[in-house]
Amino acid sequence: MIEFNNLSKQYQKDKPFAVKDLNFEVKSGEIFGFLGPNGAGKSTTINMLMGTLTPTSGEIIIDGHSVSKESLITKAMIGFVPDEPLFYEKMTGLQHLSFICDVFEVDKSLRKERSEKLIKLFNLENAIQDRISSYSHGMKQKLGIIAALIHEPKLLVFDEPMVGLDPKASFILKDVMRRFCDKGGTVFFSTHVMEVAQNVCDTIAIISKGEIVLNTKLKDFNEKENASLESLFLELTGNEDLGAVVDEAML
Amino acid sequence: MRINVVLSLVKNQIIAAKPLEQFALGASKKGNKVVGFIVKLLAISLIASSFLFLIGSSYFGYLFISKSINILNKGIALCAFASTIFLLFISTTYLEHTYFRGKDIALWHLLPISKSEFFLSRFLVSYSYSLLANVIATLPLVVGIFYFAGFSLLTLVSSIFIFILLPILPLVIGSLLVTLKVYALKGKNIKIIDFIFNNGPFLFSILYFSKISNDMTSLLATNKIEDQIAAYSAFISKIGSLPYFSLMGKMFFSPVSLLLFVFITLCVFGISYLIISPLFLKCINLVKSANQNGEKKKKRKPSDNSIGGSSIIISLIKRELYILQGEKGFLAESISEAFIPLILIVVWQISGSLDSINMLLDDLSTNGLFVAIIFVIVQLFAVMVLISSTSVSREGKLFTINKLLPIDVKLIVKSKVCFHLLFVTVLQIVYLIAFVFYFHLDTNNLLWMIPLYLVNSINISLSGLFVDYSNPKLQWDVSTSAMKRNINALFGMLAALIVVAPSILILFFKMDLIILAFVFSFTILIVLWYFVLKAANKLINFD
Repeated sequence: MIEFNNLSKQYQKDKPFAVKDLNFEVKSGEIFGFLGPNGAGKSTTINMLMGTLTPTSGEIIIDGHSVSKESLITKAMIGFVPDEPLFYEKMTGLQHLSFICDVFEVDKSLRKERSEKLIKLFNLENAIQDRISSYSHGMKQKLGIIAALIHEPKLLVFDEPMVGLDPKASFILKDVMRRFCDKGGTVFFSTHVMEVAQNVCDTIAIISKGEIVLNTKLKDFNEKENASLESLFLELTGNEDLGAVVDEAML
Repeated sequence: MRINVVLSLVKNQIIAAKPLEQFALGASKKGNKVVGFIVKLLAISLIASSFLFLIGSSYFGYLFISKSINILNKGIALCAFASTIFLLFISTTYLEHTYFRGKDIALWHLLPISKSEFFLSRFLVSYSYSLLANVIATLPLVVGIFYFAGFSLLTLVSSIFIFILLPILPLVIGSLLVTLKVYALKGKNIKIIDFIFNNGPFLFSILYFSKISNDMTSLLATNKIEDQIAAYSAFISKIGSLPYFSLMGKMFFSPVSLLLFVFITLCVFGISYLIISPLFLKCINLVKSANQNGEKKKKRKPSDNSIGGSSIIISLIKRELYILQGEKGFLAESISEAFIPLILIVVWQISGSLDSINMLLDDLSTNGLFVAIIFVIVQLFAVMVLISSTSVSREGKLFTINKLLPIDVKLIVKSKVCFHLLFVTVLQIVYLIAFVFYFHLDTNNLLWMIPLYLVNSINISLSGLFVDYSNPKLQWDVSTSAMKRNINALFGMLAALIVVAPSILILFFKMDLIILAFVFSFTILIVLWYFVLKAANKLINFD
């Protein structure tokens, strides 16, 4: 579904690469967890995937279409939820969904059915006609997820999707992601929460200092490794001796 | 009061707000930086020197006459008064946001800072902003004083003090007005009051100076030079005798007056500090709670939760309206722009200038170019509109949405042009029709006027969009930075003037060549369309 081919990004010529020679594939029907510490290159990669950032070299192919050359086609295939919600705050939730449906050219006969189901699923019935400016962070996150799902994309890209969600919505989202993939869709999401990654993902990749340091099926990982994902993450990202660092700081 | 904390707040607020960023030269990441730098430098120099020339020549005239009739101190006082009004007008554009509505207020509010420290820091930030405007408002006065009063130590010291202290009074008046407004309205935004408040000082100054100049014009109707001098003398003395301002006039000739001016200015600030400081935190809380209560939730039936449908272009036009509604300042500014002709007519009517204009137009009505003159007047109203030249900047951080959605750049640009036409041009065409009827012009003229006006309006919109897509101001905390105080608004007006100039010049050259005016306007439209798409594509589809 997604191919990252020799993807690199360097913001300034004299600065180190934010992302260097990424080469990996995300298969259709899988939930792909993209993990990494702050500043590792996750957001840069997601921005390039979404076409908001131009790669210095290499390319990303989504379902056979180049992100840089056929951006309108690739964007139409993606449902994206950014880490910071982006909304026109004077719109109501419903107006936002209507705007998204217009832009993604969702058939008018399908809009009512899909929106009602999703609004009910994420428990936004009583707020959907209020202005977005009155929403809490979690409600905005839910609205973003509904907007990402309403046009039935082939690929869902979530940047830290669980942040701000209550436990019920979090559970629902995980379930939705699984069902979405069971129907042939693909989910690419970044997270800091190892527990979520371990519970939800089929495949994970860990990025550190702009390079992929681990790319594995979670099933294989669980069979081979005795350690937890968290300890492996800390080891691979060069933070294995964190206990000593905390000790030193607190004393 | 911890002065180091206050200074730190001022420093960090200025670092965060980056007030000079909009004037930054060579800010573009790509493209020909040298050409961009030269164009910006020329444009900024042109605008700044135009203002300096306008204000400087008026001040020079007042000082020259007052020197001739031995009342130079009153001439200086008159100029100081004009500068004060100018600075007061400028200050109303940013004070409310700087004090109570900036997005950063919430952050400072959490820190252990006293209300006095907070208020003083905000006042000093506002003062630093007004120093920039003060270069235009007071520098010509200082130069004029040196020219007419000659150089002396007292002139030098007084000039330094007038430059440093003149912005205090307008800031104090502005601060008091803003605080009382927020307090009286309990932090709420009432559009009509915002409109009056934002435009009041400007209208007042226009009314005041129009009235005075009208009085003078009637006095100068006589041919006797003595009477004319008496008229000037009366005018300059009238303003120059106002308390406080007369002190500013005298201080260039008397050290006592200088000391008194410094003392009174500090007292004025001290008194305002004592009045505003206790109300300051309360006003911030009022704004905060008004914002929280502002979003009233309407109860609707759950069955209403169904989605309507529009075409993409209609949806994008609606989006422009939501962006405009997103910040209170945007809507107030846009509405006041739309009614500029009506406001001017009311102002002229009150000040008595309308009769003179009517007389002038009556004289011109026999001239063959009268139709063209009327067309140009209404066309110039269109040039002053900022809707398109700040359209991209208004989106702010939400501009990223354009990059994320699968929308063709052409559609985005079209939607912005359509919004300009619907929001601005429709009303202006009504003005054009009204002018045609008011001045008893042949209504057949509307057959060429309306289409040409429409094409020129598209060109005005496209030229504004080109300016804003080329150098958008997307990082802002205060809405006025994106619209009223956005340098693109000025560049947009300049660009709009350039794109309508050929058709206007052709009309003045020969009215029979209307077809040629259309040809020029259409050619400009095609060229502009190409360049706007290029600029928009670069901004939306590339870093």
